[in-house]
Amino acid sequence: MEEIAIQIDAVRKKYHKNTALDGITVQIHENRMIGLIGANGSGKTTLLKICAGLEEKTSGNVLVYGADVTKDIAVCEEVIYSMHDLPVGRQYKIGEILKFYDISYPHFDKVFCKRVLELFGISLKKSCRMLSQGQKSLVHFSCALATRCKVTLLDESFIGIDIEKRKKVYEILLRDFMEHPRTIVLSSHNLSEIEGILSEMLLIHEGKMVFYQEMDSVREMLFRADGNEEEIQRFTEGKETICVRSKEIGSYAVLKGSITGTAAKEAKACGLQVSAVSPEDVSIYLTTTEEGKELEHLWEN
Amino acid sequence: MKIDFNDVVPIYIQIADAIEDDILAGRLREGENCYSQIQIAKEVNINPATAAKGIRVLVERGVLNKVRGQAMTIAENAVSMIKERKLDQMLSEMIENLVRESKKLGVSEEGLVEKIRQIYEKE
Repeated sequence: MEEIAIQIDAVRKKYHKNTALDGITVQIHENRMIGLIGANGSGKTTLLKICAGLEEKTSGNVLVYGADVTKDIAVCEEVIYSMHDLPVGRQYKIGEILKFYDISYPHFDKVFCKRVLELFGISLKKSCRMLSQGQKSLVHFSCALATRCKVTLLDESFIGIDIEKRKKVYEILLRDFMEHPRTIVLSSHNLSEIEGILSEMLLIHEGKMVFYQEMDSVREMLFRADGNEEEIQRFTEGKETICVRSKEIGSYAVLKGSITGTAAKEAKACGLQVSAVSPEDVSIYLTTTEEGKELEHLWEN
Repeated sequence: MKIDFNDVVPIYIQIADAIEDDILAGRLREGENCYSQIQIAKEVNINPATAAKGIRVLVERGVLNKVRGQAMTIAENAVSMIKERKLDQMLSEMIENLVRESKKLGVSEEGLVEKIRQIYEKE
């Protein structure tokens, strides 16, 4: 039986009058690589911090391997929250930061951490104040990964890293996950870059969960049908649509279902051009509130 | 093995197809072990869960046999099975296209069947 790594029950978080999390309930099974996706201000950071016990919740419950992370030291050592810029003193050398991780996390693999940093050309003797944003991200990411915590929470950990190194980072993340299976939740705005290494995706919007699904299901969640306005109208009549857009030159509709499913076949039979909707676009289509708002007014006199 | 994330074909199906192609090309032989989910995940940088799903498709198709534990072997009649399924799929896709295009051109069912018959007779 697979265990539940993180149990989140009706979690709400209010900052004064603002509601950051509006009742999130989800069970995260162990040994998965989960993408936490949502627009700016959707509540990703708050959720991760509450899971790590770094932020208090207004109401609800969070259990990590059945224990309260704010009270149980044993579980606390198995949870790491990391982001692109942790508040570490600028005067410290990177080697000293590694030492800090080493005494705080029982499974910290110092050798592995050093190897990763070496691969990215970051010297342990370098002081924190000399690091660029990308290098800072790399240091925090390498350390977080090397803790091998059963629950690893990476919050926008790849900011500032150039594309070549980012690709390396994703590869290292995936390989280390395979070598040492554990639950890794990563939030990112670059879903298209990380979707391949994910097993699941958790989409949140305005503090609420939209869905928690296997990546392969997300890839077959929606499809798009393109044609002229009349064809689209005829095809979508009586069907539940996610959105229908009529543009000057062509129209399209986004519907639920797989590109290989019956609805998509029907669209094809109607002469429409059918395409798959990428997970990135799925997250946009399912969270856009102001439908079809055009940009034209930006340049109006 | 090449996976295209922008392809309309789901990734696990692409993996299944790539393994079938390797069997047809003789890079994988009947009776021998197939690639493992870990090998595939490492090779193309995808989550092992997706790789496993691709392998499962081939187990369902009967191309791979699940032997004790994780190892998968290529079925003894894999090559003929793959060829048969591909042929079947290709044929129905082509016929579907043919019917669609004929409808667009206003050709009736009888008209289309008649045309096919004529071509059969000529060959």
